[in-house]
Amino acid sequence: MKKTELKFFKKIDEVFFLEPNNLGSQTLTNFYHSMTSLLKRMPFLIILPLALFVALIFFLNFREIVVRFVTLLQYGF
Amino acid sequence: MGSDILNIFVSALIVVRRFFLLIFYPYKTMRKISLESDYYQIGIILFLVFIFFKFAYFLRDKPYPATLIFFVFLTHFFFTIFFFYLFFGLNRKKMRLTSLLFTFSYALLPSLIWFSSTSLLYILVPPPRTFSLMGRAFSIFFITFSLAIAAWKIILVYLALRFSTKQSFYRIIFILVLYLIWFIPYSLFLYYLKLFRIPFI
Repeated sequence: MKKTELKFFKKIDEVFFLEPNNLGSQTLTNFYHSMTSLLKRMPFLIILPLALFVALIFFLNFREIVVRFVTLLQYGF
Repeated sequence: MGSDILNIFVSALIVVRRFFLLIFYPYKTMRKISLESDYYQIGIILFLVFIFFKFAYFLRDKPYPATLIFFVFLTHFFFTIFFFYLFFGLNRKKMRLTSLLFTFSYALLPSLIWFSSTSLLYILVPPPRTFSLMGRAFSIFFITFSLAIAAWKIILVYLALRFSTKQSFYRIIFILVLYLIWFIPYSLFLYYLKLFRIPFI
């Protein structure tokens, strides 16, 4: 029972560590919370397909510029 | 002496473990990092950055010494931390500078990965890229990889500020815009001096 209580209070501390974000309007706040909930765990499941999609869009529209840009980026380190 | 070595080893294991946790559970991990107090972890991350600069020194053409580049990096790294601390910390006495230090140190990991992998790819697949099928395929791959790392970096920086300063979304965006107002000209200055083509931050 004591162990469960400690776990419960630890969880409460974690949940109330930060005040939840309020973006001013309920719609915006709900949208923000739905987007961030996707990024809190395993964000790369969303990020990788999105990054590939954006890269393909850029490539299809600006083929030569993208290839030259990658050449520049490769010298960027 | 023996216990110090053991502490460093344990801290290194924690850094590696948190690196993977930041990939899978960035929110929960960054929350725990903001409460951290083991300075060996910061030392290990900065040591990894120093190793990268030493490695990059041998790939660059007529470079500055790696130690100088590292000190320039430390200057803008600590300046960044103090900038956010001064902006938020003056009004909030409970804000810990160490919290910012830890969270921003761990937020260096995406930068370290991108710079290290770019320097490795420079050896394995040296530029310039051509318009052949392989060149185009690699370009798409590299842009995807860079965008993914950039998105991860933005998430970690946002979480670092959120957990260290406990400020709201709008205030964090506002301070980031203020930060970029001086950081972008500073990056151009570093580029002009040929210290960093892309700033390591």
